Amino acid sequence: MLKAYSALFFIWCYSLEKQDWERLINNLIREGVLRTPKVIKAMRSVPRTNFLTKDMQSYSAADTPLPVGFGQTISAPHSLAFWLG
Amino acid sequence: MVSIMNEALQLEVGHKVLEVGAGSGWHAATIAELIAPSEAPRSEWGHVYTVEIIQGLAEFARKNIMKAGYGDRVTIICSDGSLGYPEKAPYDRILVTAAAPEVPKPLFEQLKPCGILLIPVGSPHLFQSLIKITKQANGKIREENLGGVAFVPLTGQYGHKF
Repeated sequence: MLKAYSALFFIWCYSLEKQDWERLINNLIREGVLRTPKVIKAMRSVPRTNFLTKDMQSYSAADTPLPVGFGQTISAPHSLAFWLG
Repeated sequence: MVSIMNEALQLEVGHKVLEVGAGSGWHAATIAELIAPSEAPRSEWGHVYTVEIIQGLAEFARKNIMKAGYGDRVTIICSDGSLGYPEKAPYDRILVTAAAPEVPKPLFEQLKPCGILLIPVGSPHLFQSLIKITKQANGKIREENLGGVAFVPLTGQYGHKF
């Protein structure tokens, strides 16, 4: 029973993360940072959460750089959007 | 400003891209989605070569790229990216995700004619200017300043010395 509940909890967390990423992409479109349809599609398909350490994954959809260990950082989503156009 | 933004990297399907500084691999995976989209025929796919100087980070990036399903379009190399990656040169696009003291000569040399190089240039730990260099067909260089950015310092032979 507990197993089923924890599985459901993880699915729920995952869908929340997906919603957050979608919301962030929509914000970047509204702000005019993301403009090119193919770039929007690419950024939608590759959520940042899969490139973070576990302790940082809940901040994935925050539009700021985040630490990835070794004294290095991952870019803020608006920053990658700016580079890709 | 907006029109400049739109012109930044201008990635197209089929492009061969060099990234200096793989980090955790997110840029490379997103770029792969643009130059080698899953729905395009494999024969038209481009490729991303991404160089990371920190071994632990290169391993983390490789794991992330594989898990995200881009292992067939992205190659992670653990070496000094300030020297570029001459083995697969020349490149249509080169991007540097760390702040350099100046444009490393090998990177410019590894750029194709009509290629674009995007690199933050300036002091480490402060702000830098994002410089876009276009190698024009007639061999001339066009340089544009796309504005202020803040990146971790580029290390290696052509990087900042500490």
